[in-house]
Amino acid sequence: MERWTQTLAVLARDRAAALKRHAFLLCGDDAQAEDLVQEALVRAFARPLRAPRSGAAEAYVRVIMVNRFIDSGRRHSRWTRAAPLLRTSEVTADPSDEVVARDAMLTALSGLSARQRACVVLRFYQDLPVAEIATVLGVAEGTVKRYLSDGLSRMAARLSAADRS
Amino acid sequence: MTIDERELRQRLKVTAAQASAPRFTIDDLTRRIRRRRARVVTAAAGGAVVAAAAAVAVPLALGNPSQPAASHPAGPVKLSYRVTVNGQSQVVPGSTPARYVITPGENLAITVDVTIPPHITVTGLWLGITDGVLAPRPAGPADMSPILAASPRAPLGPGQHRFGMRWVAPAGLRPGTDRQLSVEWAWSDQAGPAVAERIVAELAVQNPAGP
Repeated sequence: MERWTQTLAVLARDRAAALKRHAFLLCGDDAQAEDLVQEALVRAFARPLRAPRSGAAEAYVRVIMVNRFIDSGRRHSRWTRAAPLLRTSEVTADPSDEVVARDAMLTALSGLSARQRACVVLRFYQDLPVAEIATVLGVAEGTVKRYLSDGLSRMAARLSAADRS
Repeated sequence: MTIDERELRQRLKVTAAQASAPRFTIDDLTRRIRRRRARVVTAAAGGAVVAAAAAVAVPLALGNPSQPAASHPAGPVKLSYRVTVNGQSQVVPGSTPARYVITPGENLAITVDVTIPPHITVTGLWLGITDGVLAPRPAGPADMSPILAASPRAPLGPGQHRFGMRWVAPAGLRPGTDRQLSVEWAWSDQAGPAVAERIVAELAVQNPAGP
């Protein structure tokens, strides 16, 4: 077996579910998360001379996922603005408290810009330090801090509104 | 208004757990990656100075601006191909390679008809087997093992040119893997000499677990 197919097989077998969860937090949609993971894996291994080594493959794929998500956020900003409206109806329709709580989180995340959302997920789900997030996004550390601060404020407002209702 | 970071981490984990299990298979992914790799065309300008640069393969995915730029400003000259393997003939449409299922140790009789468009003179052409990496050089490809056919010096004018060759697939090829029949061609135009390489056929060993 070629080296890249071995690396891919191990990554897809052992880490695909974790990558999908990460993508789901970014997109808030299961089908889009599936597409995002697949596209990131294909992109990561499509360039023969730049295919990732086994130890760094997962981090490389995560970086591609985040950047793809931000790029698609730019292209579909109109749709992104409409997404929270669609999510709200799901929240009120579901009787389970736990599901309502999860959907409240998705609603809160969907109210953020793509970069804010990526920062929140990388910082509080992936536990990446601010400096590393800045490297992934190609921005200054101060910019990441601002995205995090603004994002958390927005989320707090939405979550507290959801908790009150 | 603030948010408790510990609670936020916990809630993100709970939300992330909503994601369903991935539905793709490794075979699907591998096929998609192979198709994407097949679109990778490497172009490098020739000449004394550029020869050194051309020895380092620069992958270029056509139509994808995020890839490194071609060193040849006009892009590669496009040739068209018809591949015949053990009597099965396929036209190679666009950038998608033909695909053949082979068995390890199989003796393959391969014919490739290369059509060169009008007003183009190909100054060198090589056909051979590659294993996922394309590395064209003006003096001939660095990645083909073996080179099955070559026309390294005689210029090939417009029209159809036929190359016949034989290759025995290695007995150790494992199911689910493949080798590629690739072509490198060199030409010269106003922008100077250049070379490019692409995959024209995938020779895949059937995976018994696959479709």
